[in-house]
Order: sequence, then C-alpha cells, then structure tokens
Amino acid sequence: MTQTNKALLVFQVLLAVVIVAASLIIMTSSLKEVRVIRAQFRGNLTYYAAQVDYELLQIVDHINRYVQDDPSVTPETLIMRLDIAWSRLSHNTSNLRGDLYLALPGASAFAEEALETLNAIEPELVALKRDDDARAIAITSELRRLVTQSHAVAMQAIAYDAENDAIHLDGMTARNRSVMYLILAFLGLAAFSLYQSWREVRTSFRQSAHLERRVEARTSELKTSNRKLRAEIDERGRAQERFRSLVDHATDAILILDAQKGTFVEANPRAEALYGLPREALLAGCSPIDLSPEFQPDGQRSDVAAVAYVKRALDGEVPIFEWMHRNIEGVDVPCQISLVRFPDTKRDLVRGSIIDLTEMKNAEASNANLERQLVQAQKLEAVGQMTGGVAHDFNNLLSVILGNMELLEDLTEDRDKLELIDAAKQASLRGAALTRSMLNFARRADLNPQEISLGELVGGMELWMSRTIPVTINVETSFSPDLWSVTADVSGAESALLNLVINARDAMPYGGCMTIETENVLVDKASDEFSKTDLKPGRYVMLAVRDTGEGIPADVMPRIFEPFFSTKGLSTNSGLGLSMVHGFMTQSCGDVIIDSEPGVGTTVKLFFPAHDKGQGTTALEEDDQSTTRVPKARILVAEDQEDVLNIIARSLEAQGHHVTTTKSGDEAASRFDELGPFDLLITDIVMPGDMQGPALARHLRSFDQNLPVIFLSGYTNEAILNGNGLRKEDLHLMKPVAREKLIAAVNEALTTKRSHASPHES
Amino acid sequence: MNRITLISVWAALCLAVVAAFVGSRTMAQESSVAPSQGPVVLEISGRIMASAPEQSFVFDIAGLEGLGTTDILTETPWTTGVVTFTGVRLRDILNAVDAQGSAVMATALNDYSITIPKEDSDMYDVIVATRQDGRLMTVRDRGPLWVIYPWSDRSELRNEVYYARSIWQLMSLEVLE
Repeated sequence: MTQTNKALLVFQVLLAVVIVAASLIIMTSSLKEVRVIRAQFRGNLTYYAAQVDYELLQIVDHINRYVQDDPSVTPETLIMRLDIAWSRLSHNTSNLRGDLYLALPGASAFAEEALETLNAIEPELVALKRDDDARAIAITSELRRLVTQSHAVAMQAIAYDAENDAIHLDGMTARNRSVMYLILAFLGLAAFSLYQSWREVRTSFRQSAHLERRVEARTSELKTSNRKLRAEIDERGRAQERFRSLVDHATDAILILDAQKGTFVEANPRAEALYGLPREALLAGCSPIDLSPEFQPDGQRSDVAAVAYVKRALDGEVPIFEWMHRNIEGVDVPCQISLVRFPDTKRDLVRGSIIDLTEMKNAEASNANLERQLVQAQKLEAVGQMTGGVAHDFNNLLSVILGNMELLEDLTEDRDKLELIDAAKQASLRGAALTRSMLNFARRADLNPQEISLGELVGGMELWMSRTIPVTINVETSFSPDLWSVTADVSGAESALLNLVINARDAMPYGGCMTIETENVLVDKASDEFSKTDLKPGRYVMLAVRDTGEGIPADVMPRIFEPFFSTKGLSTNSGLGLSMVHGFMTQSCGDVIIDSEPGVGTTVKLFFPAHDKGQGTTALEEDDQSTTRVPKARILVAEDQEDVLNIIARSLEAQGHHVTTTKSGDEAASRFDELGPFDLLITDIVMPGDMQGPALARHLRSFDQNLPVIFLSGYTNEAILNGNGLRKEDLHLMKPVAREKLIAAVNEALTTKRSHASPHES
Repeated sequence: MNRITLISVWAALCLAVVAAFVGSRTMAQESSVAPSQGPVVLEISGRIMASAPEQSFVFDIAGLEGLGTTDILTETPWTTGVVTFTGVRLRDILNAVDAQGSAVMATALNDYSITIPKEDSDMYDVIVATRQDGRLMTVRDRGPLWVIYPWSDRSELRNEVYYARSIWQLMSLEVLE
C-alpha cells in the first residue's frame, strides 16, 4: 500500500513536472513566435506585389490623361509616377523581404525586366508630347505587358500568403490543441490528486479510531512506566537518603579532603561534633593542620606527618594511624584515622574515617587502674595470708606464755613475783592484741557482729578522745537524726574509729578542725559510692572523719592500705592502722573510701551495712555460767601443740575435771574407744593426721550423739566451721585462750549437755 | 462715474480683444509659414488653429528644415546598416502649425495613408526626415519625406505598428479631431 502510494505520488509529481514543462515550452515558443512576428517587418507580400500592378496602371492612366490633354497631368507628374513605380519595384527587391518576393515564381525575371523597361521608358516619357498618341500607345503597351506579368507574380504572392497563413493556422491549432490536452491532463491530475486525498482522509478517519485506541493503550503503558520510573526515582532517592544517613549517622567522623587544595570538601555531623565546628566552617577552607596541635605525641610535626599520610593514601595505600586532633575549644582529641583514596579521577580526593579514641583511652586508663587495684588486692591478700599464718603461730606461743603465767600466778603469794608475772601477762595480752589486729587485717579476726548504734559508739568514745587530741584541734561531731543501727563488731568498730581519729590528729600537727559525722546512705547502682567501692546496693550508715590537714600525696594513695606502711615513722606507729580498718570493714560487709586533697584535708568514710531489723538478736545473753555449779566431768582434749595442750589440761584439772590429752584426731578417736564415754570434747580444728577437728567431732558423735564440742583455732575459718555438720551449740574459741574464757566455755558446754541429756540421766 | 469713461473703457476692451486676435493670427502666419520658394513637399491641413480650422499650410524643404533639424541614427527593415536620418521633429511641425487634434493622418504620394497618434510625437523624437546620410531623398529613395522612429534607441518601437506608421514619400498631414 505504501509502495503503491509512493509510486503514485512519484507518478503524479512526474506528470505535473511534464505538464509544467510542456506548458512552459509552448508558452515560450508562442511568445518567441509572437516576438519574431512583431519584430520582423512582415509586410504584406500580396499588397506589395499588387501595389506594383497598381503603380504601373497609374502610369498608364496618367499617360492616357496626359495625351488627352488633362491639364492636371504634367510631365513632372508622369516622371513622379514612374519614380513611384520604380521605388515600389526597388522596394520589393531590396528590402529585408525582398528575397521572399524574388523567390516567387517568375518574380525575379519580372523584376529585372520591369526595372529595365522602366529605365527604358523614362526618356520616352520625358520626350512625350501631348498629342503623340502613337508613342503613348507604344509606352502603354509595354507597361501593360509588365502589368500582366506583375499580376501573375501578385497571384503567386496571394497563393504563398494563403499557404503561409494555413501553416500558421495549423501551428496555432496544434498549439491550441496541445494546450487543451495539457489542461485536460492537468485537470485529470488534479482530480486524481483530489480522489487520492479524499481516500487518504477517509482512511485516516477510519484509522483515527484505531489510532486513538492505540494512543490510549500507549498512554496507559507510559503511565505505568512513569509510575515505575517514579518509584525507581523514589527508591534511588531513598537509597541516596539511606547512604546519606549511613554517612550522617556513622559512628566515625567522615571527612573528604581535597588533596590538591588541602581543604575539606565534605564532612558529616560526627565530624562537626568531633571538632566542635559547624559543617559550613569545616568546608570553608579548613585544613587538617588547622585542627591539629603543632606536634604529634610521637614528636613529629603535624603538617609533615599529615602530608606523608595523604601521599600514601593517594598512592593507593590505606594508612591507618593514630592522630592527635585539636578541637575548636583547644582540647586535644586522640583519634584513629584511616585514609582511603576516593575514586574520583578529576580531583585528588581522600576520605578520612576518624574514630574518637578519647573514651577508649579513658577505658584503658580505668582498666589500668583496675589492674592496679587487682594487684593491690592480691598483694594485700598475700600479705594477709602471711600475716595470718604468722599470727596463728604467734598466738600459740602467746597462749603458752599466758597459760604458764596464770598457772605461776596460782603457785605464788609473793607480791614481787606476782608483779613480774603480771607484767609478763600484760605483755602477752598486748601481743595478743597485736596479732588480733593482724588477723583483722587478714580478715580473719574472730568478730562478734551485733546490732549497735554508731551514734552511741562515737558518743561513748568522745570522753577519752578529748584526752588523746590536743587543744589545737577543734573536734566537731555531726550526727544525723534517726540514724539506722548497724551490724558490726563493737570493739572492731571502736578500734577503727580510734585509728581514724589518731590519723586525723597526726595529719594536723599544727592544729585544725576535725569533724566526725554519721549519715544514712542509700547505695544503688547509680550512686557514687557504688562505683568507687565494692559495696552492694542497699542501706548503709556512713561514719566519716574529716581533717583539715595536709592531705595524702597522690603517690602515696595506692599504698595507703598496705600493712606496715606508714608515713609517720617507725617509733610511733605499727603501720597496721588503716590496713586493719580496711580488713575490718571488708569483713563487716562494708567498705572504706578515702578522699584526700593535698593542702585541703582528708576525709575517710566508713560504710557500715544497716542492721536488718527483722532478725536482730538484740541483747547479749546473760553470762550466768560462772555462778552455776558444774560437776566434775571427763574431758577429751585434742591439740597438736604440746605446750597449748598442757596449759589446757592443767587449767581444766585445776577445776577438778578429769582430762585425757591426745595430740591428734586419730589418737583422740582411739582413746575415746578405749576410755569412753567422755562428757566433753575440746579439739583444735587444724591438726596433723587424717582426722581434723570437725571430722573428729562427727566421728565421736556417731557414738555419743549429745557430745558437746569446743573448737579451738588460731583463726576463724568459716569454710571449716560452716557446712560440716557441726551444730549451733558447738563453741568456738580463739587462741590464745585465756583461762577464764576456757572455763566459761567448758561450763557452758557441760550445762547444755546436761539440759539435753537430762531425760537420759534421770 | 460718468458715462463717457465707462463707454471708453468698454471700447478699449473690445479694441484690445480684436487687436489681440488679429495680432496673434498675423504672428502665427508669420512665424510658421516661411515664404515658399522651392517646390512644395508637405501640406498640413485639418484642425490646425482654433480660429481658422479650414486653413492649410504648405512647406518646401528649406521651410521645413528651417524649423530646426535633428539626427536619428537607426537601422530600419528597409535599409542596410545604421543610417543617419536628418529631419524635423513631428512635434515641432505640429507646434509650428498650432495643431489642435489628437492624431494626424499621414498620406503618401502613392495614396498610402496611416494615422499617427499625437502621443507618438509627444513620447518619442519622431522626425519627418528630409535627408538620409546627409543627402536629400528622391522619390526613388522613398523621399522626399519619410517619417522615422528612433527604433535603435527604443526597442518597444520595433514592431509592425510603428513600421506601418513609418510612412515614406510623405505628401500631406491632416490633423484629426
């Protein structure tokens, strides 16, 4: 269809071209002819030819009139007529169409003859007289002959012109006809074009509906694809948003550096926070050197080092290094930086990811601090172990000395000797107190925790404290009302407070102000005390002693709880003061905080756990054993230290008891089999041999269920005492054991046994 | 005003009109018609003067050339090569006889006649030639007078209309209405 249309169109165009060309040709040819005809002196051949006849006949007429005496005809007139005729002939033969005339049949011969004749007649005419008829007839007959010939030529001219006109007419007719054909062709072409156009219009009308449907379909397709595109664009926007937020919310500070200019071209909010500068300021020609101190911690110049790192990054490496930045407030910020070349070919861009190491460094520092604390604790632990061991052996020695002194006391009445014995006894007791302090530090003191009021405790000590403290020191006390009671060993607490007071006094040799205060404190996980100490969350009562002394130097602080460490000089102090306080507080489930500022003063705070009111044993049991009469009893004693064994045996025998001594658990068990039953077992906890104190007690109780037991030990060891099937009523004595204490314990145990065994005995 | 003055003014006015009429007529006759000594070559008749329509003028060669001659160099269909024609402008001749019409009918010795519109003489320097290449023309040379258009100068004249008006052996001009 399209091909046909094209062919038709080409045909039409060609036809139109042909029509136009033909029209042009016809028009130009006819125009040309018209121009030629108009331009040429066409003349009328017939007229000219006939004019010759006419002029010849005029001569003849004039001659006749002249001969017949017509006065209007003169000889001049005759000559003029001759001249006119001659000029006509000459005109016909000499002008531009002369050849045409001469070409007529007979014309050439006639013209020649006529001119000759006219030339010959001229003298005759000049000589003609009015009455010379004969001559006139001769001349006119010559002229008539010429007229006949001229007429024949004129006839030929008429025929020629007629023929010529017919040719002209034929040409014109042909031209007209072809013009008509052209018009017809043109009309046909126009009609065909109209028909063609009409068909196309009809087709296009018919197609327009179809087209509309297609357009509609395409439109909806376009809409769909537009929607998809929009969704894609949105998705890309979101992706960009996500990437943006990835950068914006990155934990690293991210900066992009133009390496050629040395300035930043991009920065994320984290970078703003790191440097304390808004993004606009960072991007306004800020360089990394502007944000760094002049020298790095390793001594390098910042600018030199920075250039080196950036060059490495540009060379394709990914340098990761530590860097010290300086923010806008002038604070140095330790950072870790990784640089990577940005994939931009036009510019040298380097992306820097910067991690703020401040917190990490702080954490490292606190880790180091923890480590130091751990080392300290381990050191204290080790020293405690050693001290505990020494104290244990020392206690045994002191027990022997004390026991022997007491026995010796009974044997003499001599006052002087008694004084000596008493001095020795006092020294032994002081030694015992010392070992007790040591054991306190080692957290192995034999504490007797009970509900006490710190307010009363401090109030009770004020009396003697005033004697100890010089008048240059002003003592102030501040007790908060409704103070909770605490659970603690009274003597331990007193000793601790005394230590603190003495330390405060010694810190203010030139006087000052000492404040003793108590306060209820609630410790939770958010509170300051929780982070500084090992306290568990709960209720505590704080006892604080504050001085306005010199304070404790920072280098001394870590060693302050070390035993035997003292700043006071060997003579005045044992160096066990704060060590003991620390040990005591730890054992009492509390803790110590020391705040000190050199030049301002030191505050030592003791945190005692508040007493839980639900299960308080309020009062000490009445000590009525001493008044009770106790019958003689069979007592089995197991003690590996022979000195101690002897002292115990003598003391008990002095009370009238029957004592069987053994040096180990195994021996005691076998003696029990041989000599049993016994009323009481006194045993050391730690002994050589297979059977230790608790095991011995269990073994013997398998024979005598109600056998009372008194345990002796150099130090309290809860692991041994608890969870070994021992009973509540079992007594526990701390070596060295004073005689009264031993006797009281024996009496108590025997009384308990009696009350338990009474149904059996009666 | 007295009656005598009025009458004398009127009389003077009438005298002046008569004098002017006679004077102008005398002047016209004197100026255009030179005394004819040679043979008459051109007779002009028709509406020549408003006052004397029936009057005619005759010219001999000298009288005609006395009106002032001009040259036209041109080719013609009847001659060979460029020919110099010398003659008097038709315009000048018509002015000289105070022609009043819009055309003239020209008649030749052989009774050929053609009408020439006055516009031709106004627009073109149409001459009544007396000489061809400086020589007077004989009857045999299509003389003695020949109306010549400046064909070589004006291409629009080169057609049959103007060739037909180029009358030779011119004998008389009649000024038409």
